[in-house]
Amino acid sequence: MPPLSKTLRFREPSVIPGFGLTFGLTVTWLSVIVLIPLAAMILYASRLGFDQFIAILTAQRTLNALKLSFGIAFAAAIFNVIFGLIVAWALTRYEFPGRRIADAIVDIPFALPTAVAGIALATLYSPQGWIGQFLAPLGIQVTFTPLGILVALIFVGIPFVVRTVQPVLKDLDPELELAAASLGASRWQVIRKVIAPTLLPAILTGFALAFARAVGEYGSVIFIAGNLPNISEIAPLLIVIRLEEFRYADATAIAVIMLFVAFIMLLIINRLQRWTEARS
Amino acid sequence: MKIDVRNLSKRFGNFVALKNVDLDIASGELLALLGPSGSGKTTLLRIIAGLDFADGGEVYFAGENAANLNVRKRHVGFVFQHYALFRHMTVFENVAFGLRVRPRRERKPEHEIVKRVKRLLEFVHIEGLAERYPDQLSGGQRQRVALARALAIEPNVLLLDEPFGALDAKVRKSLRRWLRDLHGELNVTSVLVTHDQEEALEVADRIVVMGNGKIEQVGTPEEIYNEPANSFVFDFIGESVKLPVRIENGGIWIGSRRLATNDELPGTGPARLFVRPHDLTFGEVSEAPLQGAVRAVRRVGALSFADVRLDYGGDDLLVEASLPPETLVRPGDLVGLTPRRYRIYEDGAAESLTSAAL
Ligand SMILES: Nc1ncnc2c1ncn2[C@@H]1O[C@H](COP(=O)(O)OP(=O)(O)OP(=O)(O)O)[C@@H](O)[C@H]1O
Ligand SMILES: [Mg+2]
Repeated sequence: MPPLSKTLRFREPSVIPGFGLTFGLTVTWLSVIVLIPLAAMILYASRLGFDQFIAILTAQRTLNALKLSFGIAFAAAIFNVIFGLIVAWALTRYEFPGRRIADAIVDIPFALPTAVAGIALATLYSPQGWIGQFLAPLGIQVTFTPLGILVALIFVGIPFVVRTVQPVLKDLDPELELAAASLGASRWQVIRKVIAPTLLPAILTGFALAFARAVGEYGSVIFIAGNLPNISEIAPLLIVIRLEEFRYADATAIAVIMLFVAFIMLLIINRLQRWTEARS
Repeated sequence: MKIDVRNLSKRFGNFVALKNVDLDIASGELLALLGPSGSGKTTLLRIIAGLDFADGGEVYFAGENAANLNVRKRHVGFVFQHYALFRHMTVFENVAFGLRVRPRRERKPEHEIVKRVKRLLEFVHIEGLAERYPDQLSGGQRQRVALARALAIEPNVLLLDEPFGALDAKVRKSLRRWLRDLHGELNVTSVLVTHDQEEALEVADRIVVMGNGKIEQVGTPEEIYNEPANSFVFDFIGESVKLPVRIENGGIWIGSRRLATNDELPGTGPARLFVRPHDLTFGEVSEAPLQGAVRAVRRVGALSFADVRLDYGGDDLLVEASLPPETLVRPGDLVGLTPRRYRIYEDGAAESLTSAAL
């Protein structure tokens, strides 16, 4: 009998037609919408000499902006995972008056123009605002500080976590929890050993989406951040500033490095997700 | 462990799922809860396990009221109909779960856990699958994992909710025998829920027949089959033929013919006669109380059945009578049928008026 050689084939025979068509469309679409603009940007940046590129990136203001953007986006995504989980839990597990309304409210950050959100948050959290007036005596200043950026990024990111975790939580078989309890697990052990591992891939997806969104967020942040260079100036804003100064090379260099870092982080999260999924 | 259920009732909204259920489960026995879909079997099992709460009544574990014992403390091994295995854990970890979640003081050292899990996997014959995930197992294998996982905690009582419900007939049969043997070895008090009467009759020491949230009869498989306590049990267990009859002048009348009976029957009125198909004997058309034309003859395995259309006071009634091996009938033949063993239930009443074994 000839040995069965397992060759890697690009296309497996399938009873479901349409591979050629959908694959072609996918590639074309992604190219036109995503890949070509990104390639153009990288091409443009590559015209900068290496030294010049490094000089732009290591400028104090650029470094601070990048650190701020990624750092706060990360912190906001962490916050959103924690509170998003709690919200998703409450919305799926309990029946309470106003649950449908609360469920609908979660989507508002998706729909609201981000500038409106930024202005609203800035007004609320200013030292005279509804919330800010209580924080000011405690010495907490939100507007015009990185804290303000955090508030804005949490706002825009929350629906991503809730909407990715919610369906998985809904599908979680209640019998699993009963089985665990009958085997002697405490409530906490059930959550840690049974519920959390099942939710983990969805949590990571939610985290990745919230994080990606926060890194690129512009509209809501600039109204609340005050945009003080080196203190509360985010990288996307710095790009816009450079563009307005006609320093296109600088703008592109920052854009490329943001793209690169974001890509690496998303890749890592994606790997993690694969890993957690492979275990289940 | 001995379990007593006292006067248990449970409602879901307006729907009464359990009505005053009383049941004694002897230590070490294998009890089958048998009943049609929706009769409250799962509900009763879940209340015993502490996974659900009764509206009234008590459950006693070895004489102690279990009301203050939550699921964790009851030490019940519960096997769910759809297994409820943890998909993100290997077979090994699934079985080890109950041992690992114990409070630190009571937890065994790792090497003992490993030893015990291995022993259990061997016991249920899946020692080779320890590193697989539940998604990589067949239904029968998953069921074995679920059972091993439940047994790991050395349960006081093993509760199985239609454990073989999702498996094909052949696997069911072999697992059924295996469960019987396993129970013989462990002697742990077990309650098996099923709506498959063959399963219950074959496996159980005693059977509880449930209908509409009530217990209809409790007894050994022989008692349930041979002496059904009421029309519900007669109808539910085994095949049965129901014939409308009349009680008059102390006798049973099928149409215009009187059924030969030993004693006089009291009362007058419509009643139903229940008879198993194999208790209908073929006889002379002119003498037998029932006559009809053979419509079809079928052979199922070693047995033959004849569909006989009874000419029944205007109403046509199709009964399926089993044919003795030597009887030769063809479609179109006119035959006579006599109920040999039967029960008579007055219309509307569940209790049997009389029974006969001629
Ligand atoms: N959570 C619930 N809410 C409302 N009604 C319920 C609930 N659980 C069960 N019931 C009802 O209680 C009745 C008994 O249910 P149960 O699950 O005990 O039936 P069963 O005998 O196990 O049936 P099956 O053989 O189909 O599993 C059913 O009519 C069912 O609709
Ligand atoms: Mg059930």
